[in-house]
Amino acid sequence: MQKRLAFHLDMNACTGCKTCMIACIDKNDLADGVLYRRVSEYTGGDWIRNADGTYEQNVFSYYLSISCNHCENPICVRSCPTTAMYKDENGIVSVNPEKCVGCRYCEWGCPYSAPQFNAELGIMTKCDFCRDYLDLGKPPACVAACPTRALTFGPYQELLDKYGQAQLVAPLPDTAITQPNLLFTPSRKAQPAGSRNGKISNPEEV
Amino acid sequence: MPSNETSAAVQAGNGIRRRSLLKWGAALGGVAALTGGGLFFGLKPVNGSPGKKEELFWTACTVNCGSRCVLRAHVIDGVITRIETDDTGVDVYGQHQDRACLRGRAMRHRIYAPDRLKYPMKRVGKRGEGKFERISWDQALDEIAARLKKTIETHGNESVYINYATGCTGSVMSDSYAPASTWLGRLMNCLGGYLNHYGTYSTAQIARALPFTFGGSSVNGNSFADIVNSKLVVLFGNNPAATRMSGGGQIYDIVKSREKGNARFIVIDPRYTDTAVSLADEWIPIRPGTDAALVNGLAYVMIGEDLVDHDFLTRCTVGYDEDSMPEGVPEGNSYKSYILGQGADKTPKTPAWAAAITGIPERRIVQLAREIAGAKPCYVVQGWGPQRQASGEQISRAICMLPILTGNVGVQGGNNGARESGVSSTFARYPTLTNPVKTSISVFTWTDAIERGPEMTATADGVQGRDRLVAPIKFIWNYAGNCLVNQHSDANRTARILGDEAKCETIVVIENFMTPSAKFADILLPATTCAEEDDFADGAYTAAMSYLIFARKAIEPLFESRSIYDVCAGVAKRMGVEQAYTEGRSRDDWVRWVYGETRKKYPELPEKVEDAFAMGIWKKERAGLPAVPYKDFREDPETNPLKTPSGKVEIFSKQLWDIAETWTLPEGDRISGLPEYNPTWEGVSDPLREKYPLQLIGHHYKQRTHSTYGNVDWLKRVAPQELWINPADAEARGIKHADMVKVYNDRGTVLIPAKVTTRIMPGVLSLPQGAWFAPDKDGVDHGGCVNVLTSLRPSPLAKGNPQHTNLVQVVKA
Amino acid sequence: MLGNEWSLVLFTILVQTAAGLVVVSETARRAGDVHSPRQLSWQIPGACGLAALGLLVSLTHLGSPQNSVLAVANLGDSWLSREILATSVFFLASLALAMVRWKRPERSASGLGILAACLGLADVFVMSRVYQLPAVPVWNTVATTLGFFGTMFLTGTLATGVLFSIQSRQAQQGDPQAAQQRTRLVGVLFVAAVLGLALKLIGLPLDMIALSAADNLGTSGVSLLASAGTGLLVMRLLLVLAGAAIFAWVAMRILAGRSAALVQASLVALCLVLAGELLGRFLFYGSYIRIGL
Ligand code: SF4
Ligand code: SF4
Repeated sequence: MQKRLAFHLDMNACTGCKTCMIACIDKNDLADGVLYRRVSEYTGGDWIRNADGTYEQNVFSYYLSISCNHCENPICVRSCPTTAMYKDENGIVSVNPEKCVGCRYCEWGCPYSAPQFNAELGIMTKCDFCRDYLDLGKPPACVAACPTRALTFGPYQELLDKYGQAQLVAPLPDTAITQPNLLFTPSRKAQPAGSRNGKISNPEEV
Repeated sequence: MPSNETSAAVQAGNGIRRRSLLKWGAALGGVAALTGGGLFFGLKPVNGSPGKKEELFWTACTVNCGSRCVLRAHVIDGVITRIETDDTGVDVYGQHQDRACLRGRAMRHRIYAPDRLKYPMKRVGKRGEGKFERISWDQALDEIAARLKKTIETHGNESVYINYATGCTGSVMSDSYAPASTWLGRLMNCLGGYLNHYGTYSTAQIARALPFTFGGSSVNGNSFADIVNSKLVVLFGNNPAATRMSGGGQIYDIVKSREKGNARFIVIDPRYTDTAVSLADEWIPIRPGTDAALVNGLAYVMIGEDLVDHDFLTRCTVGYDEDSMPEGVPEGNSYKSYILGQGADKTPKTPAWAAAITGIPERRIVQLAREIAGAKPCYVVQGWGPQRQASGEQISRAICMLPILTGNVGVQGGNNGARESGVSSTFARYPTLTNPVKTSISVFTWTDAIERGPEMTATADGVQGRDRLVAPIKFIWNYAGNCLVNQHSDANRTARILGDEAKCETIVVIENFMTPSAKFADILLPATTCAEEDDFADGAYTAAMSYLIFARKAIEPLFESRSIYDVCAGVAKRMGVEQAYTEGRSRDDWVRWVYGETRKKYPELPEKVEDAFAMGIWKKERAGLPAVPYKDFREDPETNPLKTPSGKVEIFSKQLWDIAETWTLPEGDRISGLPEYNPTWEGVSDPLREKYPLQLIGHHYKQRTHSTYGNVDWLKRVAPQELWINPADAEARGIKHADMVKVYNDRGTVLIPAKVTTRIMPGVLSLPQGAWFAPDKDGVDHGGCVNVLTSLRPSPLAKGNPQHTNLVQVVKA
Repeated sequence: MLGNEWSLVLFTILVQTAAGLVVVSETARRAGDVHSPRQLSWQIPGACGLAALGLLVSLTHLGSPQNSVLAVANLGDSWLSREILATSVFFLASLALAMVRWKRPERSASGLGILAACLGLADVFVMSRVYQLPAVPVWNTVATTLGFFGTMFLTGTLATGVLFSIQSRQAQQGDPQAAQQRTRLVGVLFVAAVLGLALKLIGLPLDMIALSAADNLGTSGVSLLASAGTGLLVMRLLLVLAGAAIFAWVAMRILAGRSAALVQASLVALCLVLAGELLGRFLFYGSYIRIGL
């Protein structure tokens, strides 16, 4: 298997369709309330009503399909008291269900909401990059599902060479926290990281 | 086929069905257990079933979404455990994978949905109450046959109606639309015919209107592939990110073409759609129903600044100015006169005039006119949202004026303003025989036909094939459709009309689920899903690749569900037309027959249908440049005239002018020779806005294909039903994001959470269409069904569904 | 915002109170030169009880408590592992101290006492580090540490004081030596309480700064403070201040020699402070706003 795999998201192709989410739910039989991949809608801008009743606006919106980024410096792994959360020899971060104590501490610290608590099982669960598919030489379910091919994956260096390192955009967190294996092509409407112009406007969906 | 064989087959089938039922029951338990242990499922073999072999079957999603996808079912022990999609080949554009959207990927939870219909049932409560009792297939078919016989005897064949139903429109072997291509149509044709309908809920107005401008029976635009050659793309209410979602379909085409080309993208829509999110350089919000006013303002600038293509207008059009008007029309009726205020209304359609109506600043209108006229070529394309309006016929024609004025019709990289088309491959069809009945009503007027029947005439109600109807609708077939209440307008009134058993006497519904429409059945029959039978599916219109799908039966029919072919065969047998209906063929024989005929079209297909099923999908890359509709005409209009009376593009349509003279229209409705802007009932300038100040539209939403998939829990989880409302309108009413709100007008009330978002224009609400009508005892809908609020009043010409023309008020619940 | 984190609210407050009991009573013991086996003898067992209860309550937070023995497996990286270890070790040391003093009342076991107190301090520090997550700016400040120590000193002192006053009731009145010692002990308590309050008050503005910075981070997290309003925050402050005031009044009276013990008043003070601290901790968890997605 390839080492240090990464995801790439082209925000100018992602329509927020959530096929990646459903493919993931179906593949992993995800319980209610558990989403290994989430598509957040980041929206903002203002409306101004002119005197003649017409409108000006500077509305922007874009989607971010985010799962676990199998970070180089995974705060979840560092936080986990039991070592149930671990990064394997290929760089995939996942949970050993036999060891997890269900303290949810990894969830607190991950700025991507990757660790997802399964209340029924009492343990943390998360994206494992479809390790079983990778073993078979298949792409992860979400990548194989994406209708617009906005979501792709590959060895980090390869993706970096292909797409380059884009300026961070809101609402992505400072990469220094975890060094995520996530590359992206920013939306035409992308707001700079730390911007307060927009907000995640679909909290009920992620 | 001898009848005893049929029943033998059915009996054998029953045996299988019983076994599968038991298995499935056990599987349900298994599925429940899996949700608990779901984490481990898929990673390790399921506990307790060592050595259970997984089988893979190609199947399909055959709903009415405008795309078409192949699915692949993983089956263990007769139960689908996972759904995948096309993963064949290397996924190079042109031979790319036909990747299903989120809905297709949720198929497992659709097939095994808890509200799946299990057995034939007979209504026991009041109609629409949803109370049923289980009956046998024999009982059900006997009763249907008896009722049908009685209806035909008493009221004639023209009282039997096959309702618009597109839940299986993508299927070949279990097709649900159009009636004339379905088994139900064939059955009825064996029995003396049925009342036809024309038009669709998708395209009623545009499909009727554009032929008056361009001629022919349908008007197609350049495909999205041609955007590569465009300088500017202007999308009017066209949202492929929600309406053409397949990764083998047009959303991928447009994303790809945008990437490959260099065009600037402008989206004109009341909402900042998902298409705008991913593709647009600019969003121009517009008030619903006012696109024609915008076009007028743009035309005013183009004419005033002499930005129009005189060569094209002179050679290829009639009605632009007074010199090219048809005979018999008084002076002052040309397009130019209308725009410049020299026509009957004496109103110059200035950008300021348009600004006040559309909500788009005057300055922006002026610029946009220059941009569109200056971009050569420019690709103006409309979706089907703008036309789903009270004056939608005019709107759809008006949008086409932009390419006509700027000469972008029939050029590479341009478009005529109609919706994009593309390439497609299609299966051969089984013959459905001929309907002896020629009478036809508009798809939207069947409730009227139940109530008023013979009062409906050609010139007042758009009846075709006769001057007036001979009978009211007394018997309705409703297979794989939710237009009985959910997708038809004014759900409450429709429910009242259907509730009167003295009017429509029999409603037969053949369905997968207990839909809002199914609740109105007298006899309710459980149908198989695509995964439970062999089928084929035509590829959708796409830009770069056409394809065919071979969908293999993946699991046994659940419970007692049956294929529509067998249902109709059962009725045919009881009506004494079995031989005529089946021609001695079982469904399986017909599958082979259709495949054989299809191979005559595509000899490169495998010889045996089994091999096709194993292959799943067959693709053909488009060769050369994308086709340009009207290219020949444009180059030489004399040699290649259009099928309009003048042979040219009819900016002014004398046919429409004549219709306007002869038809009886209700107060406020207008049909005109020119594509004018008509203020309408419940439009921006209706005084009713004092009571109901907000315009309401119902956009297409990823959670559903219309109402199909509306019961799937996974989809509701990732894309819940919400009312879009601008922060300005929300704040004025004390509404915060996720608050429960009450949307209402005189027709009904819907309770639904609010999505407070800058992505919709102030003064406009949108409640995504298709959510399932769920009235409480007071009639308040909790499902978020927009059609509780829409009107049954048809549009003037097409008599189509103006479901985006609504005025409402909203308050915090 | 986190959900109902009552188990963590209780766990942290119980353990911090226990640590406070050990730290304050051991300090008082040394400062007051206490050798009598009976004086200040309930504090350590009390601390053991609270710490044990806290540990038990913390188990209810876990989804799979059966795996809790594994929770100290990542001491190298995980502050949570360290917290569990630190709390356990502190608890064991306190237990040992209590056992020694119970078995051999004549021994003061001051070495073990100092050790237990240091472990208590260390535990509270480690606990506060658990919450200093880079993705949670509201927590990721020194205010969290100050606040936790503040809690420790406030509740620990008041609990020490209450137990002390109950025990002192039985001591003979009018013994000048006892009175002098009592004055010294109360003096220590007074200082500890002032320290606790001071830490709380220093932490407060830091908290507010962090909160406002985290507000509108573009995340969907809703701050409890924003939604429940500042009312709860004010209430929490008032409760703590009222408790502290009553405690100060009691201490002054004792220091002034006007009474030997005011059990009821001390109890009221403790309850007020505890209520304020519980509310404060609830707000602390409620203010969880994470950056990112
Ligand atoms: S499937 Fe692709 S386009 Fe759809 S939301 Fe996911 S990443 Fe975006
Ligand atoms: S709904 Fe349409 S796009 Fe989605 S899977 Fe079905 S056929 Fe494909």
